[in-house]
Amino acid sequence: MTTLVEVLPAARRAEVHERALAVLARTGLRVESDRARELFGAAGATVDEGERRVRLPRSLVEAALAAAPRTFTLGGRRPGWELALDGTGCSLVADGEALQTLDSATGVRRPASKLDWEQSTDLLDAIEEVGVYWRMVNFDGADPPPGAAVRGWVGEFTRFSRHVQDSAADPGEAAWLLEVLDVVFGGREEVRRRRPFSFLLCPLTPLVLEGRYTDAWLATADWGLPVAAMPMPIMGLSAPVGLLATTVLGTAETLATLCLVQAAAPGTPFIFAPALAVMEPRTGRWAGGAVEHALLGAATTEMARFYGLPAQASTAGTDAHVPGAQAAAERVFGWLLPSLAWPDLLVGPGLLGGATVLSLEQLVLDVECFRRCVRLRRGIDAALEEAVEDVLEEVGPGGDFLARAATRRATHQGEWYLDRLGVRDTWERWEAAGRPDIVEEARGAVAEMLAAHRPPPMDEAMADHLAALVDRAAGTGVRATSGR
Amino acid sequence: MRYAAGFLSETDQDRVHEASLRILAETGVRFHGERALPLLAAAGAPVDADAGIARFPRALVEATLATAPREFVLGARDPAHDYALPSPVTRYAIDGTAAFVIDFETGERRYGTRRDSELALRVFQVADMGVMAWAPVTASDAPAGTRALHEFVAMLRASSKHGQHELHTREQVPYLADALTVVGGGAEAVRGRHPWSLIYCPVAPLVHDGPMLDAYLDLGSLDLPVMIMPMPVTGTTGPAGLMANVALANAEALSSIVVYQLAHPGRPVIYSSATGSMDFRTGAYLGGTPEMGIMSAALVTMGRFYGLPATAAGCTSDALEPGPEAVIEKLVTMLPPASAGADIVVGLGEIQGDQALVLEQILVDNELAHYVERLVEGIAQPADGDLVAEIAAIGPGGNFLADPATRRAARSREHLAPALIGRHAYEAWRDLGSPSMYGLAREKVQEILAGPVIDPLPQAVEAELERILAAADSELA
Repeated sequence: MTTLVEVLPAARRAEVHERALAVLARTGLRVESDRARELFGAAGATVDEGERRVRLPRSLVEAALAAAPRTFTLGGRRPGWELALDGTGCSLVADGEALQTLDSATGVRRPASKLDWEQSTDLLDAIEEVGVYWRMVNFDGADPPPGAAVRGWVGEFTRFSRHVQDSAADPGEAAWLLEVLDVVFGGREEVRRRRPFSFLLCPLTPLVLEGRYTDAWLATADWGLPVAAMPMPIMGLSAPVGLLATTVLGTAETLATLCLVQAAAPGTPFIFAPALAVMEPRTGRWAGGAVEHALLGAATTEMARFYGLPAQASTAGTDAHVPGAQAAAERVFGWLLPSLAWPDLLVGPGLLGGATVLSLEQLVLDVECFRRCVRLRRGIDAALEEAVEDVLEEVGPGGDFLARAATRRATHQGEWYLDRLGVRDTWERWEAAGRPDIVEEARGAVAEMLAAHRPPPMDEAMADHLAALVDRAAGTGVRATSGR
Repeated sequence: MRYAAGFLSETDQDRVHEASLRILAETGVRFHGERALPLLAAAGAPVDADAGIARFPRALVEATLATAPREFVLGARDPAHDYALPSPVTRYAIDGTAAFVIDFETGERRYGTRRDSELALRVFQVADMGVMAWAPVTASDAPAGTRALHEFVAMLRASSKHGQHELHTREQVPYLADALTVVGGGAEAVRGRHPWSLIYCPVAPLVHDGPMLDAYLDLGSLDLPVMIMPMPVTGTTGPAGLMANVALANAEALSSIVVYQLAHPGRPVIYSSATGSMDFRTGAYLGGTPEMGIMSAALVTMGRFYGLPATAAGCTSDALEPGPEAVIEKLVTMLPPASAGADIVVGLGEIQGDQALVLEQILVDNELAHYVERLVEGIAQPADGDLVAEIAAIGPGGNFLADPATRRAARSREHLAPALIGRHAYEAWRDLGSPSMYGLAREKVQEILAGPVIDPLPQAVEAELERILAAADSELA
């Protein structure tokens, strides 16, 4: 059977839902976008314009839940590639937005560079388990807005050929985004059909929808971009104490976002993606590697399943500043439970130091950890190729199974996970080889992948068009002219 | 509340049980040694004396399962460390009988000695998640004929927690019985408090070692509990499929229980396992794999299926040195059995496929055990407080940092405070000298070993143990 984990039993999931509804009806949200308040009001919410407060009745939430599709696919530029968000698979989303890089060659932490962005994007494209792209680093020297965003999207659609998830900061930037999508994917209808980009919409916690950011999504609402709603309540800081209370708040904020999205554009694909987190109680910092995140990542997934919505779980950061034992420990315990709960999307490999430092070696190590988690999830298959009683009767007490054909077949049929990183040799041969360790091995794997990888080629005319777009965006005061 | 985890469905548990019964009835099990086959024959099991194979009727398995106690206390030399089975929480045993140790001072890999066992068990004594000692290395400095006795005594000296070890021959039995009686304060106390137990591994597939089984049956007179740990390896000594390997391990465990219960009905037995996988590239044994983790969990589930105390190997790694690979593998093999509700997971402190002891690893693994426990504790329902009112009181855009409930929670079990894992900002970490988990563990080991031995044995008892070992060395050489 597939290995099962359940951190919230059915009654508890129903309770989280009821309490989230109560929060939305009683406290509601501060909605800073005029257009959003208008949409909420038209959909049946109670709006207090003075306080910019919106309170959501149960019926509105239920209607929004009914309007959202249960399953859909994410697409990308790679021909024939798509990712079904239907509970069958689990794909990685790269962790994002680091400012520093742990330099592979020198081992020194330094500000992230354009080359880091390019290499991390190439590496992500080379790793099949990563279905969804987040920009892993922001670097100094980038163009002022909207130039940096446009250059980023163009570069990412060129180098990464699967699905991209990102945001636009305001309606102006959103127009540029739509223009890039228009050029790369051939128009609004193609974008709507293939869904190569999902919009990451993060309410400000607790219970605030920001003005410009919400308006940015609203500017894209008629393109059918899937929305991943990712409030980030931090227990003890922006969320009340208790993992359950944090789950209630994150669920309420996600549902509120769902209500807005379905009110603006009914039927918009929606990903349930709260990034529930905890504070480090001794310092008040976000505790990226805290073990509680694993429970919250599983809880997120279970609540998404409760609603029948695709799940995106964000978990398993690490507070370690270098690849090593602590980073490995935090990644594995942070992912074990969420991966057993089996979200459609799991965030995210590759960063250290509380998601502030890029490490390409760590990215590769993290993917290896994920592969082992997937094997655990697959569990013990009840379908026996041969009856065990008959096999043992044939082999008998004291025999061995090595030469049996079934053993050979099983090696090729996935009964064993064949690891791709890690030392599997005798002590003597390992010593003779100079005691290689898994971090060095990962470093070698990164170099090999970067040397070998080529993304699917981009049409030359399209590349020229995009280059012109980047130049135009880099020029100040120049607005997008098409894309809507 | 604990989260729910499932590794074998109820149907699959029934299937494993039925398959095991058929294996025992049709293929049977080979017994070397003198005591088991007569016991089985007398109980009505068909025995092929030439082949040394007994076949087990279903009724015999069921009857002997019924006499195995469902609950008992693993006593300890210091009663504060007594551990009742079954347990609502998972605790840990140090891994045992590795051939090698990574020398704490030199970093050199060399054969283990009695002193290594004593040092490791002194560290294990302060590992708060550890409840069961086991001689962690084979004592290469002791004579072969009495090696197990020397290892057992090293453990008696260095640990006042429950101790488990092995014996190899019937000739060693009287010396061990003497030693345990001396340390335990008389045979009655040993029988009554169960401070020490035996680890028993059938030889996969479906074979029982003669001298060891006979010795263990002899030790039934002291009512020493027996941890039954089948070790079939998928693809070599076990079938390739995980489910089939689980059924084989279960059949071997049941065959052991039958014999121990026939000899001494009511003798405490502990259901366990230490499965492995084959490395296809070399044919070598691997213990730190995802497959091992889920087989351990499945077999803990089978132990519970029989209502027996259920334990499993886990926290195992094939890494050749301490570090990230060890940590990855240990967690992957810890969480499944702990999720399945194992009473004890056996494996702290060793790497290289249970073949090398590392003192720092004992404390690193203890830290990982805390993390696993925090996960297994799951998401609590608060005893008081109205979540909705609490959020309403803060309102949109507020913060919860100054809320008294936040201060209370910071000191509660809601937040695990790590001991070796760092949470510093980069600059603070750099200024502290870039501490690492293993580095901090090393400092802690140094501190423990520089301090006094905890719960040392009285001088008179030490002297008596020396006398017993000297007699064994001269008489069994």
